Amino acid sequence: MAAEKSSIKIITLIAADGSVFEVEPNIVKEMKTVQSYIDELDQNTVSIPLPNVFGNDLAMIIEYCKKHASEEETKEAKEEFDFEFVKRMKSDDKLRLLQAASYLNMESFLQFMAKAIAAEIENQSVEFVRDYFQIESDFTPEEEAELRKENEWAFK
Amino acid sequence: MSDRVKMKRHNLNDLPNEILLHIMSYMMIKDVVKTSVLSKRWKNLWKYLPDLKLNTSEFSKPWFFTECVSDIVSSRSQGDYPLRTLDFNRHGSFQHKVFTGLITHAMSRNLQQLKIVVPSNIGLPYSIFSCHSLTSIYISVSRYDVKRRTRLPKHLDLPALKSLHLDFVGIQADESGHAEPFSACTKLTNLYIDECVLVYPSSLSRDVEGILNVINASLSNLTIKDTLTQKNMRPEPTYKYVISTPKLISFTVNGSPFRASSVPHGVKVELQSSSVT
Repeated sequence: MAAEKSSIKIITLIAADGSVFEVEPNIVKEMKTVQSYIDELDQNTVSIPLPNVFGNDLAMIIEYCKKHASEEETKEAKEEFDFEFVKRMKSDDKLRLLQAASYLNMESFLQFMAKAIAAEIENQSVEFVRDYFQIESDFTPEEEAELRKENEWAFK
Repeated sequence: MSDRVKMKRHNLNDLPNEILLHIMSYMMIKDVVKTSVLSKRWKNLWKYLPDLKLNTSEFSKPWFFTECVSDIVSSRSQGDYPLRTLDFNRHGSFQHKVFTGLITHAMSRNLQQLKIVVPSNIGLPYSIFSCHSLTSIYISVSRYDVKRRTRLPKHLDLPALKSLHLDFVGIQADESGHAEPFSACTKLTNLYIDECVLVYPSSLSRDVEGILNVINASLSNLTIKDTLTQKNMRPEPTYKYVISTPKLISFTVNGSPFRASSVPHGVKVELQSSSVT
């Protein structure tokens, strides 16, 4: 599609902390934010600053993209990779990667992270979820009690 | 710049609602509804979830499920919240009134995809079969009571429907033992019928041979599975299919009895049983 028309061979991504990643065009295909940048250019190389993504996170995203863009890898190998990928992440990593995926406009990676986060808060208390998402309640105790009553079954 | 970045790092409240809803779409309904007390921003957010999955298996006690469905309908009815898909899966006891309330609510929100897995003694509100927004219907009925089937009306008024999956559903026949439910579904492309039987009016004699007419101008994929007689279940279906589908590309048949008055020319026929006549 648009990427094929472009003559760009190497894309340089610059993370928030200044770390630099050189990747091939097919790796960034899923990053719609980067893609829209490239589509407007007609040159061999391009460097794109990504001020909202940290180097460590960008390295992980590129690793994921490389694995999933590969035609040699089997579906099972990709699933196994996904499983291990989530396993080595802390909660904080998942939230940061979700935000990065949102910023980079990466549909399938965003789904993948959303699913991983949903699994983490499954069956957890309201307090746990507040803490997890760093949310401060702005309800009065009375308001909260009223809301709990509206759907009592969910809190049993 | 680095300060701005650090600030962004932890604050999930920066994420747009669509992404928070995306996370919710992977959560169990109980956890979804619990998000309403997190903070004011989250209070009504869950109600915007356009895909609702309600499954008894997520509940330790069946009456919690009834309460869940009833409360969700009443919460969502307070505003104009969209509903695109409804996936309802229920075992055990359930108040029919609550089920009807849920379906009525879904229909009023221009539901597009409906999937229901229910026991056979639950009647389907007929409003489903005249809903003009539905593009996909999947009905699967559990198999413990053949006589009290959950059934389809004689005619379906579903002009937007593209895909229909019927598993163990009864189809109401007219006074002559005939049914022609699908002819008014002008967008239908996929029809899957698994172990469905005609339900005759009580005035009809028991040995009548009924006809299930599959007449549809747009249908391209048809699957008919019928293994009732192989399992020695009663009553044995005594009806035949008459198929008239000029646009058919793929036709899969499994089981008996089956008698086609005409198989359209050039159609790929996949016979998985030799008992077809």
